[in-house]
Amino acid sequence: MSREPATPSATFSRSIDLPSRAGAGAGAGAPARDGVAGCAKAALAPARPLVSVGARSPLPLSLVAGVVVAQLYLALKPEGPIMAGLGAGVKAMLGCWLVLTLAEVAGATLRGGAGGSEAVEALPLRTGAAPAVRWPVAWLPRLNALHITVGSAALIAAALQRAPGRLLVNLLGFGLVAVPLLWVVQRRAGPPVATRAALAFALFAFVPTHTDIRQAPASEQARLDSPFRWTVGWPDESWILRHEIQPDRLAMGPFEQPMFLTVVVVGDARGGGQVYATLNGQELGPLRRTEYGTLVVGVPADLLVTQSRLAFELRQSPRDPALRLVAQRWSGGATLGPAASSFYDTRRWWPGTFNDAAGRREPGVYLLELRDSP
Amino acid sequence: MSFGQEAASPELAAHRLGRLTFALTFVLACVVAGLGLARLASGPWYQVYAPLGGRLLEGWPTSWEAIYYLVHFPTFLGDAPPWLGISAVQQRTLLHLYLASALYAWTGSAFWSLAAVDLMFWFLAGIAGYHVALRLGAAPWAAALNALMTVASPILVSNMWRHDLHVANFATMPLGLWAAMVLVDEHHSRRRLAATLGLLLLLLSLTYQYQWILIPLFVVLLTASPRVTPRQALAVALGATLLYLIATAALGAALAMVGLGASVGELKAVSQPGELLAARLASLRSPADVLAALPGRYRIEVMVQAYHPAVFVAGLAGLALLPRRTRWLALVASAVALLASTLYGPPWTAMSAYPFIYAGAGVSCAAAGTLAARAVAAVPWLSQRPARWSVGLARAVSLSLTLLLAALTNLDLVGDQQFLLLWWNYYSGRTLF
Repeated sequence: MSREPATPSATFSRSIDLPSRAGAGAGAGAPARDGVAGCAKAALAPARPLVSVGARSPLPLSLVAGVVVAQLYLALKPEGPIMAGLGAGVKAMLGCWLVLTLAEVAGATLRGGAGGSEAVEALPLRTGAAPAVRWPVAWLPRLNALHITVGSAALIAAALQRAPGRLLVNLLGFGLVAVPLLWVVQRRAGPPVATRAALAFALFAFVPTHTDIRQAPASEQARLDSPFRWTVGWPDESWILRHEIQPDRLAMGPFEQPMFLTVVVVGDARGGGQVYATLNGQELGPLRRTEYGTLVVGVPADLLVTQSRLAFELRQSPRDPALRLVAQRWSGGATLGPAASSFYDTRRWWPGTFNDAAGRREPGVYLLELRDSP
Repeated sequence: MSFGQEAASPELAAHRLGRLTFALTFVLACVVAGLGLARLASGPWYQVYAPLGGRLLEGWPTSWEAIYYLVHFPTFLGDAPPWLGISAVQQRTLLHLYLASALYAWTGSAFWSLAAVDLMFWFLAGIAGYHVALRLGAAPWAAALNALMTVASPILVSNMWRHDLHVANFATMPLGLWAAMVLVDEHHSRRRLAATLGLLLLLLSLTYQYQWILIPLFVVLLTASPRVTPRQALAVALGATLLYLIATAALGAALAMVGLGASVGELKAVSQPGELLAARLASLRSPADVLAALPGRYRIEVMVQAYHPAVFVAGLAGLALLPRRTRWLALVASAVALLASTLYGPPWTAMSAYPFIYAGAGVSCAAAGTLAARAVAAVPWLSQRPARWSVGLARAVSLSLTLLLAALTNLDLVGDQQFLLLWWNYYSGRTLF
């Protein structure tokens, strides 16, 4: 394999993701492409920039957002503590500043070409020169991205020293996200934007250090009123829930082994309810509970081999409102699509499912599957 | 007129480049948001394929595997002593998990925090793919087409709304590749290069596992550099790998010291690549075993089908038009992806070299557009048209081809689940319901 120059072929390329080098003196190993760099710089610094760094501070808008949120909070919850409202306002203000700053940084970074650092193989957070950013407090020494990042890491460490595990994972996450983030921003958009990015990311990382969330968010199988996954019961012992499967014999081959019908349910059988299944009119018996919380019943192979369509019917006896099936709206994966599931309400068969808790029909499929193991 | 590039003054070309970049950013953001949010209506791929694996989080669709990550929100955000260590499945997405947990502290919504991380990295994959394609030798228009196809790719679409951070994970391939190419192309010191590449490998190991694909690509990139001899290339790659291994061991020791080691309540949800490889190597006793362990026809079929055959063929055709370095990179990455898929077979493993395939596909589409414009310009009564007309025609044709290729893997949006089910079938077979 011959060695090609790092510069891609002129026939196809015009690499624009190099920082502008025009007049800055390229490093010894950098490919010499002043013409392209000049074009890139011209392309990426239009006469009227779409995003200007530091031209408009997000602080005023953020302050307004904070005040509005605090007022709304206090108006909607007049009986609540005032500090909670103020806290909401402060969070809204900081969040607004964060979002606006990150949007500005993102715009500048995607545009690129604003005099990024030349030294890209080292961690380029040391720029030497003071950043040309409008500094809010004149008497404070001007800080660059590295100062802010290191200082923020120290603040995070100080805030989390009460929980060593939490301190380690947060410092790790902060450092290992900050370094590449600021490297990219600095080479694409320059030191001033990298400084703003460092400030914004520091705020993003520091505020959560004051939370104490000990409960993990939990997922659930279904909700009664969910448009995505809901529960389905048997309003009466005469009701039947049917699900049909049309196996692809060519793809799957013959059924040589017994299979298992697995059904997703919610609730337990405190009311003594038992679910029974039939397959094409043949009794399969009661479904039993598994360790995973599902119900399962064996399906003999001889009931499967000759059938082109498998119609499973589920009944409940005695009726138990606590023990319910789960259904979902997306039926594209069912072998018969939206026509796979139906229900019998003692008068006629209806397509889809019936959300008896909500009292309405819902197009969708019951969550059950034919598997080769329970 | 060369593929995807028209004759123009440097200033005009640069101005157009800027407009293209801005337009591309906006379009990619819209496409990502559209493709992601549309699946809440048409059905997230996983929940359509395997509804028994679905769940709800705050009333919105997710998958059961979200629990691997939700369970660690208190680790990042709470002061109680950890009851669960950081296992392999969490360590390999530690940085994404950090971002999601921090967002949760801000927003109070676990669902939207995880989704935001996935969507953001999905978008960044498109941007990174664009820049990678430029460095691989594609013209800007071809690189833009590649970016469009990348964000519409099944590797990024398939796991949205599972909330297992796979979308963010898979997006790190073009991000890591771009960073590697920048570092290699612009390095001034081999020692510093080894250090920064080692840091890159560490980052990739904490945002999925693409470091194993990048290590051989380092060798190719360095060997292709005129400033590095093959021996130096190998030394830098080995140095980076060694630094990565040391850093990983140090990380593991640090986590164990604070009570977050894998032995403290472990979720054995994934197998580590190193363990899989070691087990496979230990099972090789004869040349026949070695041949049997190589990827066969089935693995190649999975790779081709996972992209969609038309996309894969377009990718290969375009790679033939790109510089030799790119072809070598694509070959090595694809070979590693195929070998990896013999150890761990889901379709996303087979698609690990996707930045190269989509770069090639972008070039193919741009080339097809140029050829169409040339063919039309050869017609006598059409040859009098101004050059801008030809350029417009070339772009229209190439964009149409790109959209067609992207649509082939997104037909589930209009009710055709065939590709979706075929793609996921390669994960664990057909679900029968």
